[in-house]
Amino acid sequence: MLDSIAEVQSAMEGAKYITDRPTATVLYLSLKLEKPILVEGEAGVGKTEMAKVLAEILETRLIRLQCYEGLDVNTSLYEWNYPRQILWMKQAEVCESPREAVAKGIFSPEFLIRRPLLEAIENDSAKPPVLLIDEIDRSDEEFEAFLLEILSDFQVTIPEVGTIKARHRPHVILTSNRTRELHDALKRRCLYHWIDYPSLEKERRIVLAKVPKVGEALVRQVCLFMQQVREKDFYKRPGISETLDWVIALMALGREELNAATVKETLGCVFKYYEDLKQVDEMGVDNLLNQLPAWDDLPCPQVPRA
Amino acid sequence: MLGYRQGEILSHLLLFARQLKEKGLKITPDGVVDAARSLAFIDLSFRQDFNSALKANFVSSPVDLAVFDALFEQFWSHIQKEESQESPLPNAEEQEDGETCGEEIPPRSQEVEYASEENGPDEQELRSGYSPEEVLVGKDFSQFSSEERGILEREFARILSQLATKVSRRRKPAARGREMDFRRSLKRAVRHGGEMVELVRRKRKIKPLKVMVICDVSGSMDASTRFILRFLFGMQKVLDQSECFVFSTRLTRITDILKHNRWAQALTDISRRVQDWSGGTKIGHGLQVFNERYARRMTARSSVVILISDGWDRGEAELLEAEMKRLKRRARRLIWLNPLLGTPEYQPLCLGMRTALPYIDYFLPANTLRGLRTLGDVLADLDKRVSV
Repeated sequence: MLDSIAEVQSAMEGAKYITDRPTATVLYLSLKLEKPILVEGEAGVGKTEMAKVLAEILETRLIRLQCYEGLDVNTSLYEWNYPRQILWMKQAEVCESPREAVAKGIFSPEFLIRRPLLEAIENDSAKPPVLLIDEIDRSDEEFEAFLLEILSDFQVTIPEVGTIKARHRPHVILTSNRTRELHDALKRRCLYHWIDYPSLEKERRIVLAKVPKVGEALVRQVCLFMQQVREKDFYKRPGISETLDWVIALMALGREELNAATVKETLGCVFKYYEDLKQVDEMGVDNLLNQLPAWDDLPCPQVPRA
Repeated sequence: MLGYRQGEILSHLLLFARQLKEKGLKITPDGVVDAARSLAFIDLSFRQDFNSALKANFVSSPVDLAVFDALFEQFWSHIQKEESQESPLPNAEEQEDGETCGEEIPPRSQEVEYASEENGPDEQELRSGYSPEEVLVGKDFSQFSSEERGILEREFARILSQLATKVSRRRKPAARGREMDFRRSLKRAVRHGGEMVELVRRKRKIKPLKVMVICDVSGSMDASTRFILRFLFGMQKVLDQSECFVFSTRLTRITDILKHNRWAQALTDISRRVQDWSGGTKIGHGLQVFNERYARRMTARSSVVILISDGWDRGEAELLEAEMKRLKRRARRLIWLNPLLGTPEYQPLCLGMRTALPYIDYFLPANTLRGLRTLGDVLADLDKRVSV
């Protein structure tokens, strides 16, 4: 299974992740070279989803580490269960257990809290898990340096327990929104992939794959609208996740096509900042709708609906 | 690319990697090895895959993408031509001269469908614009062309993002922190024979840096104002405790406007609120208002104060001196950014500047990237040393 780029691509599409061949190529190479992928792109273009779908098509576990500022070894790798250790010691005191046994007891794996990175390394199953390190740009440099060490050896040493080495290297996907530049050393360990906003046709296929019951006319209008809006200067341009939210919202309201009133009602699905909403208002929703080109005039290849 | 043998393609690959490196991409030996390994898994005759495979290994930021694509088209089309002429290795000298080769040689006809973009002129532009470091760091903001402004904004973002990561949220042990530090508590309990005598607490290690900016928007500053405000706009996002003021004859607080998310809107709002835009300069008076109305509220010596002005003061020197003295007492550090300082022949001779100079901790240029970069470094450095 998954022995060629085409197979990866069709498996991804089977899992409702519409993708292009370059993306499939990078995934395929990462599986073959056992090298992590660093995925960058604007928010909401499906970076995180890529890891989820990879886990799905490999039929393996997804282990996710969400990064944030101040994330450290104790919250990403392992920590001792201190309250439990204290209780155990108290109990041992009452029962007058021998000291050595207590010392040995409280530092056994039973008292170890496994955080995502340790889980990914310790995994014993025949299929290595997919490790998603999400929004690495939100962590700080100290954590990046630590991660570097993990990614090169896939082994950790816990002083009280010993060294644990991964039997199979997990498939690692790192995502970044580029709020800051990552360190070169980390980039060097990864294959790089940039996900752009989707083309019109690709976006249409994504919507149809994810929201199968939607009407063709509505999808076309929504996708055209999104493409147009992304060409304009907004503080936060809407990604695919916004497109999907919007389509689902429109369906829930029972709308079959876009008109000015509908767009105004549901604009909160597309724009999440007050300034952007205000700007749309200034541009005029009617204008935006009137400017939409007709679908058939567009030079993009028409792929028949699956 | 049909009919390549492994050995032949490797030498081309090395050459290609070297050319990418010359164009500023970060190519490492490991990267080249992995690129070569990647080729074993793909069908070399399929150009798109070949492109994707090399791209994944050689590119490491979106800026690199365009450079890569341009060189890819040029380099590999050229090689093909060479191949068909049965010459095993491209002429080294011709390759070195990366700009001219390939341009007059169109890709082979069956490859045209994959060649999405023309290279040529685009590529040259990319090359000159790719690395802002050398060319633009010393250039005055007022002389930036509209294309270069994009680069400028990216550079601003870079300086600021470096600042952002310096605001650490790590914890350190403290007598009266909010959280329990179990790890340390337990370790300390060993001393008392396993009895938890003291609980160790912890709290945030570093308090985010507070910055107060007072910017001159009088007529003499016009050329640089826009860029400086743009920088302040970005800074407000990173250091959310900062405060910004502008003045020419009177002081106006613009912190709330800079908190807007859209730059264009913020700029309009600022110009609407600031009545005395491009007016005369009364630095002393502006500082007086600042000291009386706002500086009181800042905890003594907790904020870094940044003054941005060329020092051409129309007010009284005595007032300026007195207010600088007051400000100096309240501020943790006093930084003066002067847009004229970047000019080589500039000397702080005008009365205002001479009066203020003795009270200043850092005197930096405000009209070049280098100046703002130094400011970023100074702030980041201060940040590290602020502990609670």
